[in-house]
Amino acid sequence: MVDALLECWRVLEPGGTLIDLRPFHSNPAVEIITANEILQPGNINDEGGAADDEAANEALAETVRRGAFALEMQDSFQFANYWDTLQEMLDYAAEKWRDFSIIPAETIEKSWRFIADSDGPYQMRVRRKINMAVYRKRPT
Amino acid sequence: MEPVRDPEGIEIEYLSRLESIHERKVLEIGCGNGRLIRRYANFASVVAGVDPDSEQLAEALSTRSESSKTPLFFAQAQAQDLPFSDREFASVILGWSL
Repeated sequence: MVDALLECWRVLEPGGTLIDLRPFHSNPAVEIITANEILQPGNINDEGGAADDEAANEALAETVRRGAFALEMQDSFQFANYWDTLQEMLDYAAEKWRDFSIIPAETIEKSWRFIADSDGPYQMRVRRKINMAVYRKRPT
Repeated sequence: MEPVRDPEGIEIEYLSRLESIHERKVLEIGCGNGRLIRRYANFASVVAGVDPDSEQLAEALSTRSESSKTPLFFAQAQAQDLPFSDREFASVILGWSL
């Protein structure tokens, strides 16, 4: 990972910027949006991604220690994914999130129950925290 | 079924605040199907996207907006061996790829 970051350094012009935009694995809530309210039947367990977060952070820190980059700013925001049905969300999670996220059986069960009780149109939403960091290329 | 992603436009709002991508030559590493590039391309002067996955790149090419005024280039490559010259870009974006 450090090799890839140093390759970024190579192709950047002097004083250029490296922008790291990345989801932070922080067990986001599953949300059911109905006409009247937003229900939260539980959270996604994405602790499986924590090691990846740590490895990426460490690689960036190493390039800073080596004097290749200087951290210029950090910020974060919420990035929302919406599905029309719970089943669509579960299918997507099974295919795309299987390496780092688990939707607990209890959360799925509660979701189905809430949807049945609300008896109306709904949308599913998961909002993940995205970290954005900007690093400035330093001359070495 | 793909979700509707960030319809509120929060991601592009944050990216657009970065002066270093405005009217500059930008490289995105791990561009995948070009989802993020399509959102900020019009801010930049030139955008290049690289990804190791040829299927994703094919999708990026096929969904490239005809209305985009910004030249877009895509290349199949690994992040640790980029097919570009030294000091070629003003900004490099790691778009959900590190």
